[in-house]
Amino acid sequence: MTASDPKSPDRFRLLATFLAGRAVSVTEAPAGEAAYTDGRFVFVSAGRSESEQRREVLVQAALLGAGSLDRPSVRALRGRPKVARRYLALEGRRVLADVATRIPLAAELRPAGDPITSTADESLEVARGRSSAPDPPEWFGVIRPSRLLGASVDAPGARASNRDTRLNFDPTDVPEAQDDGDAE
Amino acid sequence: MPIRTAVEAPFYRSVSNEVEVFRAAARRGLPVLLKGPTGCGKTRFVEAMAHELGRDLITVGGHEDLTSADLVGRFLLKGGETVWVDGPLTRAVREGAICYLDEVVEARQDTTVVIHPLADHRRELPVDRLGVTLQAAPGFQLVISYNPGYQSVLKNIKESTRQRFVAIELDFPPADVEAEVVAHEAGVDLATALALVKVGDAIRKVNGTPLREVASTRLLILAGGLAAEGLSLRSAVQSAIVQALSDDADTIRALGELVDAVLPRP
Repeated sequence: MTASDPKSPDRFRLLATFLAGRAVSVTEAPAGEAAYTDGRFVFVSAGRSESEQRREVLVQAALLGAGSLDRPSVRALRGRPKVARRYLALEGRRVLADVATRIPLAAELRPAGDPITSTADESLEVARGRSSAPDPPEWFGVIRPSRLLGASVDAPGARASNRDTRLNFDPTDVPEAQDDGDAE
Repeated sequence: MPIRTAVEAPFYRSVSNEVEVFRAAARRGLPVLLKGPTGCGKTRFVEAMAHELGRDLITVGGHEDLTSADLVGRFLLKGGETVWVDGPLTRAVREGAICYLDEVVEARQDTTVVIHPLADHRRELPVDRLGVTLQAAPGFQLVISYNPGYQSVLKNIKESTRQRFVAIELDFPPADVEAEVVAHEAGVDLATALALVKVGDAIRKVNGTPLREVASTRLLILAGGLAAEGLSLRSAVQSAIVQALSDDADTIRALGELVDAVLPRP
């Protein structure tokens, strides 16, 4: 699917960029994979309708724009898929409720009800705890910490620096399964 | 050549100290350079100031074929006789009017050099073809505008030109002021104007768009005008803003998604 294809999710790139507050592209994830973002792309579910892909972009880009997927938060989710899922449910609702005050599309598409958290830190704290949290709607997609942490300044194509000549191990660089360690 | 004289009180909302600066410059007869993006209100500002100061306004649109003769004047044949016809700059010098050279960088630099003696303490215009030098009448003021977004090596104001001017930087007004302007100019209610301003703001905030220009206040007013004529807000925005900003199909689709998200739901 090319950008000039009217059905290409590339049509959502300016919406994603506006919501994220920085340049973000939109493309389809491999077939069968849920929507997610690596911080530079929002990957939407392949083969879904335009309206379904639109709301996937809405929540993933809004999470980026709110700082919900910044490194400190995402590091805390690495290897903890259940916490990541709860965090997504809480933070997605919180962020969409906030965006809905400015963007009518978000007001129309966001899940009903008020969010139960008011900051990303609070969402993380609740996600780590034992209190009940609603499941995220399917269209929220997933959070993939490894993809978010990998899409940093050290990503392929980044400018070489003296740091590249040193032997360093960063725990976040250790390869992991694509499902971010679903076995918990 | 577009020449226009302001006759009615133009609607203008001040957003900073531009009015005070212009008034002070006018009292001293100092030339003014207006900087700002396309459609932010530069021309309207000059019209409003000319009206407030009670001076005629003569506007010249800059373009690459503009010659110094277009500004100063030329001999024309009339009924077998050769007669001199003042150009707009000469008229303004004689009549003590404000001469507004809009988008002056579009003109060649050798053309704009003709304004130098008018833009410093001499306040005079040499008219070589008549063999005279005209002293600017009291009230004469030179105002030029340009859009820094168009700046390039080829199209820029010569340093020797710009350093003769008092500079006033204009930008798109804050949302509440812009909504008031759109409502007034387009004849729409404030809620509709605010919705249009949100569209403009969204387009201006998006980083890395392939657009040469963002949605100007002028475009928002055009969209408002279509809405006032009965078009749905979405149709108005699509025609007056989205289609106006790009010819590229991918960009139009992407812009369409963005503006649809920020417009009130149908």
